[in-house]
This record gives sequence, C-alpha cells and structure tokens, in this order.
Amino acid sequence: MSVSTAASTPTPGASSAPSVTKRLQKELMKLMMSPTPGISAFPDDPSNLLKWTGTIDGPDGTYFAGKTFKLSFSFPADYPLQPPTVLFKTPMFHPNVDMSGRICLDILKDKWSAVYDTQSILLSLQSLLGEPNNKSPLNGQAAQLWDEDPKEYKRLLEKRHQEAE
Amino acid sequence: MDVNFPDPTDWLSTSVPGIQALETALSCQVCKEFFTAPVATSCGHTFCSLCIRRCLSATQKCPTCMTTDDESRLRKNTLVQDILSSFTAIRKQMLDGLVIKEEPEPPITKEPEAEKKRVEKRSSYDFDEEIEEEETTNNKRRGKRRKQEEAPVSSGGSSDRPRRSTRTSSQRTNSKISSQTAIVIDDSDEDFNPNEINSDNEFESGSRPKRGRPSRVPETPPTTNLVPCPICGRLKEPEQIQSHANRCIEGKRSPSPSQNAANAASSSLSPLKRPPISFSNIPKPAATQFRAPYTEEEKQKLKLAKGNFTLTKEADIRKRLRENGIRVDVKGKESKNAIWARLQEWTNLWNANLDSEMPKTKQALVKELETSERHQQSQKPSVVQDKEFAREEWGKDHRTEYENMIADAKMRVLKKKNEAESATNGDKTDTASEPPRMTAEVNGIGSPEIIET
Repeated sequence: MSVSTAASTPTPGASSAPSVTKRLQKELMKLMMSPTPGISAFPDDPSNLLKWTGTIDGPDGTYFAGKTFKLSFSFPADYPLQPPTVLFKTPMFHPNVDMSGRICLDILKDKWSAVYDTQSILLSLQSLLGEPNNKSPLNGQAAQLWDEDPKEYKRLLEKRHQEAE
Repeated sequence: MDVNFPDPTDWLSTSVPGIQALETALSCQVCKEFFTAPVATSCGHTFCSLCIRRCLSATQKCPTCMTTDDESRLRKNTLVQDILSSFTAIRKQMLDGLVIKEEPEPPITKEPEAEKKRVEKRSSYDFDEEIEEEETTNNKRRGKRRKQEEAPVSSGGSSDRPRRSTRTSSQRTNSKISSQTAIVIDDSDEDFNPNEINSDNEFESGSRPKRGRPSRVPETPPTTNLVPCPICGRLKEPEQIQSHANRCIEGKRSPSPSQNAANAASSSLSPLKRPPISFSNIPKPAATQFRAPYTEEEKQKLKLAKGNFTLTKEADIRKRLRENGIRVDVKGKESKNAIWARLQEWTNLWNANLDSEMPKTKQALVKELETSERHQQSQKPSVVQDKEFAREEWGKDHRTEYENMIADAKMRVLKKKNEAESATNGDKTDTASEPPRMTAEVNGIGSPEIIET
C-alpha cells in the first residue's frame, strides 16, 4: 500500500505529503520547541501521526490542582477543517465530561475553526476544568455538587481519580 | 521527524528570538506554513488561497473571526506576498548570522526563483489591472497629475483597492484645484513615499516598475475627456455632464433657470459637494461595454464559480468533471454528494492556482486532486488503514529519530523543572501524582541548550 504509507510518512522530503500530516508535524514542532507550561501532547506512535496523547495539569485554585489528566486525540483526514475527537483517558469527574471521558465543549463541535490547534484545545480544556459550563452538563451530579457541596465534589473527584492507579 | 524545514521556532535559539513572531505572522493560520498565494478575506484576515477556499467550502466563515464570508470576496494580498518573498530570500542568511550555536540547517528556499517567475506570469486579477492601466496612459496629462496626488495614499495596502478604483472623474476635474493641497497633506502621511512623485518620467515612457506596484491608478474613461451621459449615453464634456444628466432625468424638459443656476454653482464653486447622482460611476460600465470577448488564453485565467448543490443536476456535475479530464464513474456508482465534493475541491484547486505565483498545469492539478482524494479515502476507515500499513517496519526504521525526539523533549522538561526547583529552593517534591508522559522516566541531566519561554 504505497498510498497509505505515503499518507502517514512524516518525512518532509515527500513533497506530496498531505496537508494533515504536514500540519500535525508543524504543531508537534511548536509544542516541542516552545512548550507551554501545564500542557503537553505527543503522537502515540511514530508511524501514525493521527493519534496523539495529551496531558493537562489541573489549574491551581481549582478542585483539579495538583492532578494531571491524560487525553486522547484522534485527528480526522480532513483536519484542520474538522475538529479532532478528544477524550479524557484519566477518569474524570467534571460537569462537562461524561463517565467515558467524552467532552462537551463548543470549540470541539460547532464552534471549531481551522485556526485552532492541539495547543489551543489543551488550553481551552484546561480553562474548562476551572470554569465549567453548568448550564448544559454531561454529568448532572457533578454540575449540582460543583456549586452546592464542594466537599462531596472533592471526595468523588478523588475517588474517580484513584481509579486511574 | 526532521528539522530541516522552516519553522518559526528556529529563531528561538538565535540572538533575536522575536523574529519568531514575525515569521508566525507570515504564516497561514490554517496550514501553519508560509503563505502560498496569500489572499485577504473581506474581514481583513489573510490566508493561503487554497486554505481559505477549503475553509469557506466547509463553513463559509472566516476561520479567525467567524465572520460570514464568500469566496468571491477574496482578494490577492500582494503586499504580504512581497514581504514574504523578501523575508524568505534572506531567511537563511539571517538564521546563519544570528544563530548562537548548533542550529539545524536552515531550509533551502526556492523563493528567489519564484520572484523571477512572478514578473512573467500574472493572474487574471493582475491582468485586468494591466488593461486598465494601459487605458489610463491615453490620458497622460491627467493621469500624471492624478498619480502624483494619489499614489502615496493608495500605497497603504492592497485591501483598499476596490474602493480606490472608483475614485474618478469627479475628483479628476478638480485636480487642478486639489493637487496642490493634496500633496501637502500627503507629505504628512506615514505611507508617503517621495519616490512616487519622481516616478513620473517612468510613467510617461511606459516603463513602470513591474514589481511592488503599490500604487494604483484609478480607472478612467477609455477614450478622451468626453464622458457619456448615464441616461441618454451621449458624450459630453465632464464640466457639462452634471447639468446635462439632470436635464435627462427630468424627462428632457429644459430645466428652470433657478435650477440651472444652482447646478452651475455647484459644479464650478463647490465641486466637492456634488449630488449623489454623479458621473463617477460611469467609467466602469463603459469599460466593460467595450470589452472584447474572452480569448482562449483569457478563459484559462477565469475563476470557476462554486455553483449550488441543489440546483445543479448530477449529469452536469459529471459533464463538468469529464470536461476537465477528471475521473468520474460512468455508471453512476458514485453518489451526487461524492462527485459534488470532487467538483468543489477541483474548483478550490483551480481558483487557488490562479492566485499562485507559479501556476501549475491543468494535468498537475488533476493529479493533485486524485492524490488528495485517495488519501482522504485511505484515511477514513482508520482501522483498515492501520492494518494495511507496514507499521512495525516503519517504526523500526524511524525508531532512532523518534527516540531522539523524546530524549530531547525530556531533557528540556527536566531542565525547566530543575530551574523551577532551584528557584523554589527545592522544597517542592513531586507535585503531580501522574506526571506527564514526556517527564515520566526522567533521570538524565539538564540540557545545556538555551530555551526561551
């Protein structure tokens, strides 16, 4: 399969390298050369640039401070015209994240724009951790406890987080 | 992953890391590479021609500000192209000169070659301008005067073009009065360039500088000083046209003496306060009126229209694809959606190619279309793709590159961590219960590299 080999070859020498691969290489380069504190992302496998794993450090002053969360990125073939599929891999207890890690965030759905990249998604998610949208929760219990019972929220979050280990 | 292609981060290890921002500004925000045939949207954001056309096909919104926009409103951004060309031409030199140490080899740029070609080959947009400008040379005396007063103003940016182009006769007739003052005003302008004024001789001899072309001469009527009346079409002196047009509007009745006097006053005494119905719009229709039918060569430079999915018949889509030598299933196996998508992509490629400095041949474009489509298809069922791909072998071949990259990243993170710890006097132990992937097994020593953050 010469086509698919060329498709996922991250060698810049291949001038016909499709725009997805080139674009993801650029993003990787940026993340590596000028890393933003608190976030990181890297391809899972050198042979497939379309699957990445990212991490977010919980922002200080939130329930999530001191914790690190893993995410999976799956980029479509027409990225960046379409957003990547992003999932929390670390068990999460958050109003806008469901129990299987799916995220409700507008820029990953209808508000997506081709100028966004992995870095901007990670930063958006990081700020979502501290400022959830409790109006349209995916996790109703988390949304309720967020405002009403911080202690219980903290307890359930810790419980969920320990599932990871 | 190779580092032998240009990236803004190359500048971080030089003595002027700020150039990173400059290079980022010269990169398209969609593909994150240097602009290829930059065009500006109506909201003023610049992208590669192909990138923005693809985006607009998908959402009809500017990716940066989400303003609704349409492909037909895209305009070439020649200023950005010029800046980019000069930047890429000196990039290697600058990088070599400013680098502190062990810098990856700067890329080989093909730009100087590109610049040569851009003089010869023009897009349809430039071609049209050329015609207009040829026409204006018929009007040398007036043209010269107007160039003096307008060139500094219009050198501000290409986005101003459409508006400038409608500045016409009404101002022209006043040039005797206003040229003096205009020059004085322009003197204080930041964009003012005294060279523009001295370029008169070049202009007269017809040897205008080909590159740069920041100034733009507005359109003028194609032939002489006579201007056709918008109502009856008769040619009149510009000084008389206003009153003549008013008479025409009033059903060719002879105007009352008072009106006549008022018109005379308005045209001679306060020429700037003309009524909204003026002859300033005339030159354009007149120019198109006398336009010869498109030649075959000109047709090759015309942009394609996007069309409408529901109004276009499936057979027409097939026909248009086949006309261009693009593969279509004869039996109609492919859905209308599929062939429509192909036609849209073809339109994007074609139109973007017209904006390019080095247009490709039609055959090359067709090939490009097929390659990108095959790629899209091969990516869709990602499981199948993964199975077919000789993953392990490829991984083995590139293992060292990959490992080097990880090691590099680890060292960098560690170095930062060390710095942070020494800053806080090392009282901070392991803060993260599950450290990020790249820092997981760090036990090396800090890298001596200088990293700007």
